[in-house]
Amino acid sequence: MELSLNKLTRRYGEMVAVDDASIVMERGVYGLLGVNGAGKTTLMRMVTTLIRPSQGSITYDGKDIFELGGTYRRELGYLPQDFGYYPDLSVQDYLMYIAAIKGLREAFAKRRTGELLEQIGMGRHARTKMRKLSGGMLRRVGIAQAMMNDPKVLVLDEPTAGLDPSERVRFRNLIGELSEDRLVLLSTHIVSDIEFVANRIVLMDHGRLTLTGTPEEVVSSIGTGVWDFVVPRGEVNRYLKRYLVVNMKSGADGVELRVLAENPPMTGARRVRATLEDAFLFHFGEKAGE
Amino acid sequence: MRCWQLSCSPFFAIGSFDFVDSEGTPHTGVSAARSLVEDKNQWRGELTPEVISQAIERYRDGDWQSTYEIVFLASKMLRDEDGDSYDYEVALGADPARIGDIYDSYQTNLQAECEKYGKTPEQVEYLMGKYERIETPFSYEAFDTWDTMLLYATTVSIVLVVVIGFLTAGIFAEEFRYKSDAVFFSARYGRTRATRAKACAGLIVATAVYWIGIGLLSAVVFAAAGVSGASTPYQIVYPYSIYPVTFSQMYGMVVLGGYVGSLLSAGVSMLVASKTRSASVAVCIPFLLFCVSPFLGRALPFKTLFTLTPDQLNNVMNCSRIPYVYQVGGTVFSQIPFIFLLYAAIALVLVVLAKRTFGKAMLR
Repeated sequence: MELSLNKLTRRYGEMVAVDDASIVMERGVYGLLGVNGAGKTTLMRMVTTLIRPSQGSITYDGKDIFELGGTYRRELGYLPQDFGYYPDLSVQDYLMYIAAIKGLREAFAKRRTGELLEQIGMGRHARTKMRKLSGGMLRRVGIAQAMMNDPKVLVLDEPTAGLDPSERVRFRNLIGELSEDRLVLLSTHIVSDIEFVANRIVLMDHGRLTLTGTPEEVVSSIGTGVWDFVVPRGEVNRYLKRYLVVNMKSGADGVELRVLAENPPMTGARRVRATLEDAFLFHFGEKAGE
Repeated sequence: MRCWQLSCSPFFAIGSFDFVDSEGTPHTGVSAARSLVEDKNQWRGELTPEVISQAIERYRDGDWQSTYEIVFLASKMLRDEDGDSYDYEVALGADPARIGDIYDSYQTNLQAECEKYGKTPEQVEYLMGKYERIETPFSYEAFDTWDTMLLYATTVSIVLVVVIGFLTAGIFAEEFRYKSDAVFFSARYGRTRATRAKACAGLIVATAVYWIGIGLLSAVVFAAAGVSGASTPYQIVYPYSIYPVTFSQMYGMVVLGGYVGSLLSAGVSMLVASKTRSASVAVCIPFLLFCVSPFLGRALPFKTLFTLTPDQLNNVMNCSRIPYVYQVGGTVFSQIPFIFLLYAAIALVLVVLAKRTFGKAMLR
């Protein structure tokens, strides 16, 4: 199984949302990391055949996905960022409907619905109307519908957006469980979403895929040191203006800063091990906070 | 509001029957319908010149309730050749010899009608062919239920057409409204079978809603008021109609016209919804087509064009009164079957277009 993006470009008038993106993906979890507006959703919509590229192609095992049509979509599961649903359907009816448009036989769909509802911890809510579900529950139903056809390619666009921390952890664990023996492409602008589940991380900026590698490779791509030190409160602004500050923590002695810099920002600064979050900030700079 | 009107329409229809008994007391409702039919059916049978003379005599004697239809028919059959409007009591002043030759006068007037509305020899010949199929002398049976139902079926079918446009607009637009389009189109059959199923659902909704609505109206009213007059020729009320059908057949035509209108409404609504991705816009178009275009037709000078607009599907009863014929090359055809075929075909094409438009939709 190989999903290949070949010089993929998508323009909206003058604006280039995805710019000459190329990557070959096989089994495993690919974390597509980029700030808001980087082009992640547009890229994912092309991968899910919802938008045609302006240039370039996407192939699945060497064949164009738009030509494959239903044959490709049979292998596809998609949870969009803006997950829409039918508010008056119950969870079970909704999943059965999705099973129908995915071409699953009724008996299999019923069994699969039951299994997935248990797996996502929604067994008790099978008869609950979709409109009565919380944001976290909706996301879980979203992943269940994406998994309905046991897809080879699972595309999850910002799956943890709007979830509280406990739901996010739960969701991350669920993705970890579901990622076996398939290609999972997961977009996010939250580093912790992919830090522990992604086999490979793809950084996206201004529509371009700027870096691809294992989490370790991405972390080691930081061409600078990471420093930890405490400064008096009055000096924080000076450091903020001069360095890329990854983290600030107030304490009794002052403010503890975590800074990206070539050389020690001050005497006594301790060099620490870089993390993916440091790499994210290094690559996206000021935009990382957007 | 529309549901309320629809559900009450059978009762309005039944309540519209009036009967005055021998003591001059008026009655309405089911019993009135039955009594009226019973009273009129004393004239059941062939309307020979002798029977018409007797009916005229009885009308003069004050028994207008059972005879006025026959008197009016006789007046229409005797009308002056170039008369556009009828004097409904001309038969009352006609001498017995004129009544004796009433079917000859009628034939002469039919010939005049052919020449009036036939603009080419082919059209005249076509009209004559239609009129030759009218069987005379007319066979009479009280047709009040059918006559009333022609009006009510017309009104109810207009309401149903608008309701169907409303119901079918959401079939394609709801995916966009609920933002469920991304999941739908990324599913295996999202752009193929599922879209086809949606198009079929539109046709099924249009068919089911229409026939249930009309079926209920017909069942309630015919069960209550009876079906007398099913075989009475429609020419008894409109002697110059080019459609040689019975009342029950004309009712079938009215109902069928409404059904074609319903299919067209569904087709238009679904196509507009899949193009604009909005149900709100889509529901307006059937309303404009079926409810606004008649007023435009009256105001604008293109009379021929407006005899072929979709609203005519819900105006079959009026269409049947005037012998509109059209000609393409050597082929002449009349209005009602033409608009039925034309709009049934257009409706199916629109549904196919709606399906294709939706199936190829790209996310914005």
